[in-house]
Amino acid sequence: MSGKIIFYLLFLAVLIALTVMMIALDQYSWKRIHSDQMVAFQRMVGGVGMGAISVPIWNFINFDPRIQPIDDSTLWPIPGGYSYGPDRTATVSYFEEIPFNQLSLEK
Amino acid sequence: MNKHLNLLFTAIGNIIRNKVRSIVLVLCLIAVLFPFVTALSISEGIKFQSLISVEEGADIYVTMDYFGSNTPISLDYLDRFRKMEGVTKVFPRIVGRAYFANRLATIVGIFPENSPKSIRFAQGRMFRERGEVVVGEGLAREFHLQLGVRFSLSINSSKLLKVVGIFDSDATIWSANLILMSFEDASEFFKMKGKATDILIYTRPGYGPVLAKEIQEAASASNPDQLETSLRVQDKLLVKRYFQRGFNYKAGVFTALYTVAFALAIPALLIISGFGQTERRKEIGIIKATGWQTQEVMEMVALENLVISLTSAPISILLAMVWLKWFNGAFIAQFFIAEIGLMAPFPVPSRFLPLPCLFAFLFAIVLTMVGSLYSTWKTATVPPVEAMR
Repeated sequence: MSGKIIFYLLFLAVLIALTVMMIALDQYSWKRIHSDQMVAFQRMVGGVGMGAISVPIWNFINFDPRIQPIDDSTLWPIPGGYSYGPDRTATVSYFEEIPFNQLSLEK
Repeated sequence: MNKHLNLLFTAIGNIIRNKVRSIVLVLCLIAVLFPFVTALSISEGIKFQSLISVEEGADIYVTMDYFGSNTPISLDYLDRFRKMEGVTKVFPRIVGRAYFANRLATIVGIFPENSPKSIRFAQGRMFRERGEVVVGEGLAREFHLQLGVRFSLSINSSKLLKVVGIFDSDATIWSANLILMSFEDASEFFKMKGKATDILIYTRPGYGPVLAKEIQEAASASNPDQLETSLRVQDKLLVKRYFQRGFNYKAGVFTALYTVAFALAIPALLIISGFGQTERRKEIGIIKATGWQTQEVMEMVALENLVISLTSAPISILLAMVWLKWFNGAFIAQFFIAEIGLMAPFPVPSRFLPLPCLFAFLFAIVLTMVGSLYSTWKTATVPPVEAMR
């Protein structure tokens, strides 16, 4: 076994150990995170913000569906088209209106 | 055991010997895995903050329903809700939007009594008097806002506002571009006196769904006589469903886009791992001529892929960590969190869970195996003379 192979194996071991350690450290830091400021803020405002967008730029649904659960960008400029909101493209959250039955049939 | 170890050492030897091929492969894998790991960790970070928003929010949100959309609700409903059994607290709030210069800001109006004593500000204090506001750190930083600065916005230029506090950037991503003021100020600002965006109802444990149903039924029953528009009631269960669907089931259009990218990466890597194919064919031909079995050749290539994956997946994870934690996701976070610009005005939340990291490794191994096993098998099954030609 040449020295280069030993070196590569050592490098791999260190790399994996470092990654596992960093993931563990991240986990630990999130456990220890002082979320009290987040809790205090959300308690104060009654819950504002849910999605991966910092402001309700085109519509409120991706920002916070509690405020407006409807993606009204599908209504204009061409009604019935796809959503034009740029916040509806590649962010890591995507909220949709949850349909609920408003129909009651009577004989 | 010794045989497998020897194959592993040979595989590592091959990786070292074919430097260019190995480096290109590792770089390609990092290019594929880095955005994947970054997006998943940002998603987990935002999910954490979003869950706090859901849990600490009200049990029931009531608005009016005009033409099927949420619309402002009259404050006359406050007393009606307060009298209901199981209700512990009721308060109205205003949530709107306005442009602060060229930056969109979320305007929130609440009663100052709601602010907990534990709330911390980066600078200043909570508003106490009319016209006082607390602004997000993102806005403050971008427009060099300091305590005591007075401003008005064109939506209601007669309403003069004074900055008395700046939010701590650790609060949430949604507080960065937020302007918080008293409910009365927000009413005046939006010229919507006697109305709120929604009424927030807090209930005793277990009362939420029952009260939500009761409010909805009472509103529906009273409509025909009173000619009121109907109410829209959203309880915590519904909000939790928004949360679950928004993050867990769909996980954004990103997932779909990434799947496409991943699907494209397989043939791309198929070509890339054929880089140096002639040399690889010769190698296989030589080792076959020296007595290696096809199975041993396949095992060696599989071990090569394993080592390459074990190299590229951890590098991608570490790179994503460094980029998100030290450089605050500069340039890349904007792809996963909308409207934050090149440099996020708040600490980009990122959480590296073991499972997505394991997925990254699995992606790497699947990609490399798909790209090499078949071509190796094809070469290993032809006579060595032909392979070496």
